[in-house]
Amino acid sequence: MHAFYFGKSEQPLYGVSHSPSGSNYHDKAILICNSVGHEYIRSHRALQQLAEKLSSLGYYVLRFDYRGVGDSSGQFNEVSVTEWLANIKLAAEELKAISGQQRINVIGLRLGATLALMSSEQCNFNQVIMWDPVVFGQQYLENLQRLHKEFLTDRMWFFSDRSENDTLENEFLCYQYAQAVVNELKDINLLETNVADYQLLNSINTEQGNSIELDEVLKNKLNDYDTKYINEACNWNQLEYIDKALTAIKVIDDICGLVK
Amino acid sequence: MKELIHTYGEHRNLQGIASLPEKLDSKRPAVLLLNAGVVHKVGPFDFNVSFARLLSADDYLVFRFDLNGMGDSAKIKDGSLHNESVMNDIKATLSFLQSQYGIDQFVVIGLCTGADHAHKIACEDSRVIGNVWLDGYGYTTWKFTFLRLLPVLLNPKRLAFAIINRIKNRKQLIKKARGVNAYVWELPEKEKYLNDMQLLDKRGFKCLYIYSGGVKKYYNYKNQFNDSFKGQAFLKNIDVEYYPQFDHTYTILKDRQQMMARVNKWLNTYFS
Repeated sequence: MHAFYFGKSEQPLYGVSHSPSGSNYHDKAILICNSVGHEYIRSHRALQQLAEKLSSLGYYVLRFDYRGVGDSSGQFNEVSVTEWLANIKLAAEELKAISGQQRINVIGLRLGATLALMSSEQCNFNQVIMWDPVVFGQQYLENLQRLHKEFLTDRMWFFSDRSENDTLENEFLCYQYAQAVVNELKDINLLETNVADYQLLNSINTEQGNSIELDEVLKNKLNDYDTKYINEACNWNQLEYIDKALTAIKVIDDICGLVK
Repeated sequence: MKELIHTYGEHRNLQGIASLPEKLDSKRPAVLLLNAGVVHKVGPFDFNVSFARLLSADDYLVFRFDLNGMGDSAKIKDGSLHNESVMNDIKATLSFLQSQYGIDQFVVIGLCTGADHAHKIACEDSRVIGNVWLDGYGYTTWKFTFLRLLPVLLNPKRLAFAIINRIKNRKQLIKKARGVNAYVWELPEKEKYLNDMQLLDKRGFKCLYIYSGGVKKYYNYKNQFNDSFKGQAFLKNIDVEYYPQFDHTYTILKDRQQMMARVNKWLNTYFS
């Protein structure tokens, strides 16, 4: 496990590489795209465990933080979805350079899955594995707004009710989303995303029906699309879990089995 | 503002990020931000990142890092107990910063379990000259008990409900209390804490203790800390702040800004 900065020196991105171990050394490297906001914090440990497991199976793995997120440079409220997509491209290039592999598989979680699919054609990913992808950005935003509203009056969090006046514009669960991000999120509709027909695509869902519409569309577009439901609740839309570290042993095992 | 990643420690498994001030003044203490619970070095909802960037903009060198086996620091099994391992990691971090940046005095900031670790390292290592606790130890007083029970006593329905609940949950509570794990701190005996503070007081040790509404189960009025240790000389070196409206991890950004401004002011008062 090695942490380093990459990208522009004035706007560095934080990455952690996991070198392959064990006897099998694969000719593909794996890029992991986390979500953003409170979901990023929740998922950090699970994705670190996923990366460790993949490296023990012989893959070179890179995890990274988008600009404005986690340990990367920048403020969360001054970045955009367009920039995060560019970050994925940059991270994929970095992974090629450090691993010496030209074929990159990407694993994305939540919004990270969405962004991975949106950038898959441009980045020429060999395989995209989506874990609970956000299919409709508008719905994602509405959920954030709902959770934030519930949070302000929840007795597990506050002694007395807090109001939306106590929070900043577009502040959802401790993160102020830039207006640009809000606008871009509203426009996200994965059903309209272009995917190349040579790409391998997998979708893993821990909530029944999360990607029914997406599954229909992708099955028609691609020969090699596989989707499955795993009974391991990640509870993305429940207030009591917004600060709970994600445990997803079954999903991690399953993802490792899906990598081709 | 510049940030640098560092890998260090006996096994070179510890990873941290230094947020550097515009001008490094080695006479100023560096600020160390500890892990809170199991959250990696960015802190709960990026708490540590915001803190580091705010304080480094005010000319402090701030370091956030992951303890052994947490976040991006690899796990090394050397047979040491959890608490011993934590102390070793913090000492290794202080030594690393000392050799790397020539700073030999430190203020440690810890939230929840981080506050517990901040206190323990201060007792063990004289390079630590100040602590900021966020929801650290709290000792109850008569006034605390009175304030806690008053709303229940004034409402017969609540009183009846509380008694029934208490009987019902007694077994469960005992079970829960025994299930304490390494990520939940245990309140030291008052005598032990008192002894620690008397020793720290001789070093001129400064503290800022901040309590939020998130710990109302053991802290419910501003002067509770001072009331718990009435007449003790070390109180002159302790500033206490109480934010009953705020939650444990300062999850509303304006609350967070207010709390961080208070810490910044305290640092400038005693260490600039």
